[in-house]
Amino acid sequence: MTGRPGAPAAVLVTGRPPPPAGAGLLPTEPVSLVDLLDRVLARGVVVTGEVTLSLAGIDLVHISLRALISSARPDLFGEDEW
Amino acid sequence: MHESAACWVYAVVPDETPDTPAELTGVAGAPIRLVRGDGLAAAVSSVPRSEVAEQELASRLQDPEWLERAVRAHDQVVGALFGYAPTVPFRLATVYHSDARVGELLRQQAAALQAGLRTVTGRAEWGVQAFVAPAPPGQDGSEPEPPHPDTGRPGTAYLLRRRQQRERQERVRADARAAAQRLDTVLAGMAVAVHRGPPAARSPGGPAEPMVLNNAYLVNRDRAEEFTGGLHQQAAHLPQLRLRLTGPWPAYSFVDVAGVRS
Repeated sequence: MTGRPGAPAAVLVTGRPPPPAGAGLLPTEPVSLVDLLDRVLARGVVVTGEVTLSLAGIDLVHISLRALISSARPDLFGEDEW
Repeated sequence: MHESAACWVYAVVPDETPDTPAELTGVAGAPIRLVRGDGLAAAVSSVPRSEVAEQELASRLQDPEWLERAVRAHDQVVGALFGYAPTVPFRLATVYHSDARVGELLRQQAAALQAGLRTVTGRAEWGVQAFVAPAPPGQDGSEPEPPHPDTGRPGTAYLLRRRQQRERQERVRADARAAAQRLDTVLAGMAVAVHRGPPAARSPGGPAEPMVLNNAYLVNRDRAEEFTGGLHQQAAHLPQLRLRLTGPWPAYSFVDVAGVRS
């Protein structure tokens, strides 16, 4: 993938045949915030740290997605969908 | 280390990993350091205690701007390590009172963390999402249907047309799901592990079409080109799908099975 080492990129893969060897990849875009949230909040090693002991039971994904989506797209989700 | 600072943990890497570049910073703009012990090293940075006190952290997690900055800072550190070492990513918001306590974490969880490192070494995660491909113009169900033979009443004709549209959409979606399953089988054959996620109902900022696949594949680095090339090849034969590939990621989706729990 193009981009800095270790930096993920997103590629939209269409039904077109892959570009010939040596040509650039299909246009890349930075990963979306949702891609990041999905990993950084919902995956990775889960250890109950000391300071965050009381947060262990909270669904971080739920909290954050609600905050993110409601601020970015208030038309998408009404209160009753959560 | 400042007495009033807590330790934010980003990831675990092998003990022999060199220090990160001085200019790499984490949440709160602080530099990264490695706390070493038991053959392992935890990447941490200092965070003001006031910022991560329980109630404070809970409310910051609900602030979209703070959350986005924290998520990006966390992932940037994990990604930087992933550039030169096997990396076991930690979930956001793992905070300890001190480096010494982090050292205890390494000691207590050494076996599970070592197993996690073995899982991720020499591998990267690739995200593959599949969406129902947008219908070609003229075939999205909006074109006028011929009048139903048994009735000239416009209301009934409308309802019948709507039912036909729904049935067509359901067939299209079922077809796309079946294609996504075939794709998953091919991709899984090139991976050492698969994380199958629930397709999101809607992806903010993403395609309007339904998502029918939302998986992560753990792929050996020396098979990465075969994997991405294979995905492109499959895409050419699956016109009912639109595919989105992200990666390479540190193996966020494959470390929980190491069973690290406090």
